[in-house]
Amino acid sequence: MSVMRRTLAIALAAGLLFLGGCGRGRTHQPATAPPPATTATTAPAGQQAPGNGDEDVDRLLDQVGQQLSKDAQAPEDED
Amino acid sequence: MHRIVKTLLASAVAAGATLALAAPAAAAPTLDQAKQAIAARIDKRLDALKQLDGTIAGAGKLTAAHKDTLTKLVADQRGGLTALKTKVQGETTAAGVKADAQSMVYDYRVFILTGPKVRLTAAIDTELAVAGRTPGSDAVQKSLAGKADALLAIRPGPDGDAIKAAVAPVREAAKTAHKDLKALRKHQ
Repeated sequence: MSVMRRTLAIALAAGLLFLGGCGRGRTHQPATAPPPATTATTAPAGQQAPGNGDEDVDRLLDQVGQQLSKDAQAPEDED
Repeated sequence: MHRIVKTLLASAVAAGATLALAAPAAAAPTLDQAKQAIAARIDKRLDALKQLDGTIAGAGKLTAAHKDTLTKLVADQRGGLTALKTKVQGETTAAGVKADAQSMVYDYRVFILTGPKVRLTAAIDTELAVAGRTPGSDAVQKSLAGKADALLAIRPGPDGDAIKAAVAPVREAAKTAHKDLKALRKHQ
């Protein structure tokens, strides 16, 4: 009987240790996950610059287009 | 039914127009009416200048020198037109009002010159900034060289057609540069 209790206690303790280990692993994962994400955004800064530059140039050309179309509109007073 | 209503409305408008043309007394405005009309036209110009202020503020690629020139131009014109509006209200003769009306147009040329100065200078400076970052755009840069300064050097005056003729090549250069830069961007 006491052997059975001891076995159960050991099994319970082992189970708790196992679960605790899993839990720790689970909480640890998100903590380690963000650093790669942040390095992923900061590391290729040199590669990002042309992308943003392209967008910037396209945006600037759109601005020019807007200025020119505003300018093409007839003035309110023709003087 | 709808057609009848339309026909009646058209007839009423036509009759009104005929009466208006046939009444010579109504065609000659009083001094106060003339002053109000001039004040309203000055207000239109002040509104346009306010919009141009916004255009200058939003044009991030204007060179510092051009931004200063345009900001001063718009501020000076706002001050001048505001003073002119006060002057108009104090006029006691038709000749005085007429002279103010001429000054409102000839001395400022808000619509045919100040507006294009702001919009086209902003466009050209932006195009030059884009050209500086676009390989193969040397011809575009050459075509725009000095255009904004030439535009800013145009003075207002009584000859509206001459002003329009002087602005036209600058407008054309800005349009062509925009088209060329877009084409270059496509082929990259």
